[in-house]
Amino acid sequence: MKHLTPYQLHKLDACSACGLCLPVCPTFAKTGLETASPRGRVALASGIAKGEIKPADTLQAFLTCTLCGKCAKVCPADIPLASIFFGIRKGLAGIPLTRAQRLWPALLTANQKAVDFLQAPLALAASLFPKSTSMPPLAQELFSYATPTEKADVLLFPGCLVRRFNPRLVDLSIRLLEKLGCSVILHPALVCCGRPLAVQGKSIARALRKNFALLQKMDFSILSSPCPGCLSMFREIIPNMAELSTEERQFAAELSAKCVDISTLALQKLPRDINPGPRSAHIWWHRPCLLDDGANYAEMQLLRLAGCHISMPSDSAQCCGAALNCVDLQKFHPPKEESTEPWHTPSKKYPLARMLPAEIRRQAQGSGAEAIVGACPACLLKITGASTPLDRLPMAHALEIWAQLLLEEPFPWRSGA
Amino acid sequence: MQATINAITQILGRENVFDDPATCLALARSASYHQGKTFVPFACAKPRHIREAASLLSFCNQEGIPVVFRGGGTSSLLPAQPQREDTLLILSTGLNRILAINPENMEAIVQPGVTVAELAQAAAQKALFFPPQPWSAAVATIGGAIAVNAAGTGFLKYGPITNYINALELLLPTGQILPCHGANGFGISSGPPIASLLAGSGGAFGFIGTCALRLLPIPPHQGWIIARFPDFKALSSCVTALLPIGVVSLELFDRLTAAQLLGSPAESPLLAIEIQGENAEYETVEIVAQHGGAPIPLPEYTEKRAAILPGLFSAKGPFILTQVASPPAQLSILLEKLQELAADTPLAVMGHAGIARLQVAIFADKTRATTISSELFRLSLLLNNALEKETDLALSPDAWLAQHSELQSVARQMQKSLDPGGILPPLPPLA
Repeated sequence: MKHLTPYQLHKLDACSACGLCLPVCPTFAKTGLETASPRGRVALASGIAKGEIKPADTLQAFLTCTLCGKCAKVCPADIPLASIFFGIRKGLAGIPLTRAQRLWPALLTANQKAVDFLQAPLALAASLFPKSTSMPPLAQELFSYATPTEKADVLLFPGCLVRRFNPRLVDLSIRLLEKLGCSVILHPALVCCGRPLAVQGKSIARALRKNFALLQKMDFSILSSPCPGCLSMFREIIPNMAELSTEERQFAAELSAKCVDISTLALQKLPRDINPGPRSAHIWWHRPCLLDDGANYAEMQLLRLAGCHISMPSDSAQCCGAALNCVDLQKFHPPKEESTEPWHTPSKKYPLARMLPAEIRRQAQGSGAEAIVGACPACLLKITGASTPLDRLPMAHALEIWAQLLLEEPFPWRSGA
Repeated sequence: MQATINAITQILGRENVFDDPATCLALARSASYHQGKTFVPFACAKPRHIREAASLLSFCNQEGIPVVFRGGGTSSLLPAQPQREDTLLILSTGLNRILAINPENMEAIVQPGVTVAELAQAAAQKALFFPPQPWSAAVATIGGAIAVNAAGTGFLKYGPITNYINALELLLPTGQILPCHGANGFGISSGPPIASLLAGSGGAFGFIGTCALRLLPIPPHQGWIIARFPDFKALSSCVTALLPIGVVSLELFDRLTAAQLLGSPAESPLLAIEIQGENAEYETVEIVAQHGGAPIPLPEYTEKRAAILPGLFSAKGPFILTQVASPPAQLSILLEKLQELAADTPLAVMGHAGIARLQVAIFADKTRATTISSELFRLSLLLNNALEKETDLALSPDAWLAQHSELQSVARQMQKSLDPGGILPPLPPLA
């Protein structure tokens, strides 16, 4: 199994099938299938490594994984489950992709300034057509780049989703960080962190080399991003990838140590005399799966300071399932009319991919909150995209809310935008 | 084989029969620490109604297909896994409905695939309490918990799940559904409680169907006190002193398991004491201090406790898990013997000190572990001959074993009469 490191292979044997990962797995919660649970997937990964099963037979099990990494957080044996599942995906041949998904590797690793150039006309063209609820619009205006300097406190990694759909977050982050006294580098030539490509089982070598070449030239002590997906990629996934060379692994480890979530940074640097706002908004907190405990604490503290009353789900197995939209799952959901299993819901394109955000919206609606707040641009797209004509609950990035502590911004869903 | 699968599909419907290699391999192993060989079942069936399960069993009986039942697959001692290749795995997780929670009768009626945590949550909504809470409650099913006679944290005060069975349905390979009543069931006031026999049977007498379980009122506030003791001797004397004041749970951890619990190397054994009520804390801490114990802070004890065995498996390598028991008064002798044994072979010990029932993880190959485990069993017998002493029946362990093997054969005959085709899993061995 050349796509797993010796350490990962060794750790596969450390699984005693205790099942503590089952209650936190979003796909197990929805399907009740062992093959859609971390314990089952580990058994299959170890089966592949020992040659007991053909990788092709495990496609459904691994492609329905949302790669949320909740299982790794609760694993008593400290098995790096998320990075193992990424490694296994690379060894799976024949991952089905739609035509658009096949373009991703080229688009995401191309010169991003050229892609920026294409974005404005594309967004304009798209805005002429009636708005579809499933696909959020591309941003028409891009953020204005700061001059790329070589030395600063913080390197801000915008991430593709923020760059293409929500560039306002970059402007906000930079203004915030500068207000907190940090100098910021924002380099326009940085490409995708590699996460969507790794989800598709593709090599991320090209993206990695381009980024590493740029990053090695820069001098910064903190790597931060409004996207926890990009940060978790740099923090946990890339350093554990089997395809790195020794020097690359060393640099990846250095980068990993520099990763700090933007909320953690803000909470550390926030002036002590700041006035907590009056409780003026009731929000539903959707904790992004990739946000670690410290950053989650910081986000919630900042939201409370900014005057939010927070409701959140009682079960821990919630995930928007954004990773499921990176591959074409259609052939894994054969329509079965007589079935009552949600897994086999007939005539919907990706039942699991739709059910996961719908569940989040249902609970948020029930709580009476006036908006859903997350901290991940992927959740933002996925959960906004799952809105229906009867359920138009807005969703915002937490940054847009607690930025008002320093920047006098209104709640985004009240600004009339 | 395909014909068999087609026939099962006819009974259960296509979406409830899994014969793809991935599902079969994923379900081949359960969380048991026994290092046995794994056999992959040829198919897995997930009945959605009790009647479907009954027809499935009777079909397997006609065709002579061996079956194994699986709930959450989390038992650490009894494996829910096939013992041969041509086995059909029957999952109880499709039967997952809570049919009723009746506060009037203090009773819950549930299907066997409901998880213990789901039942506890549903009971709590009606201000009731289901005491058996094994560490894997979030995944362990009621059917599985009965099949292994699970107890969990409150073993000392509440006892195992068998105490809470009012009645249950037993599905036999003949397709019959037998209603069995438990020791405190309604309606039947005499006759042996057959349902109690099924607790701990590992599915050897049949498939457990819908169960009626006893609920209790929610107890007063509970909490844990974790104390460090200089040695096992002080710890055992403290256990004896704590028993009369009525604590809920007394769990001991040796140095290895304590290190897993604390997340750092431990120099001395730990005792975890679960208390109930307002004034228990003061009294308990005083007794602990009198016996040389020192309470230590340990947040999230229950989560950490659940992670000990899998953590040990990962940190120290594979082991074989066995149980040893003695009367609580002999706990210090039992622990002394275990320490002697640990000089040769590494052992990790933890478990219910209040009833002196300990789990022993043996880090050795299968043959050595089997020798140690039978040695431990003989030790249990030696320490446990109180009944024989009182009744002049004092027997050596050998003689006891000989008598007990007769008892086992009686149990086997019983199994044979319920399962003439021999398709059910074998009776779990004595340990």
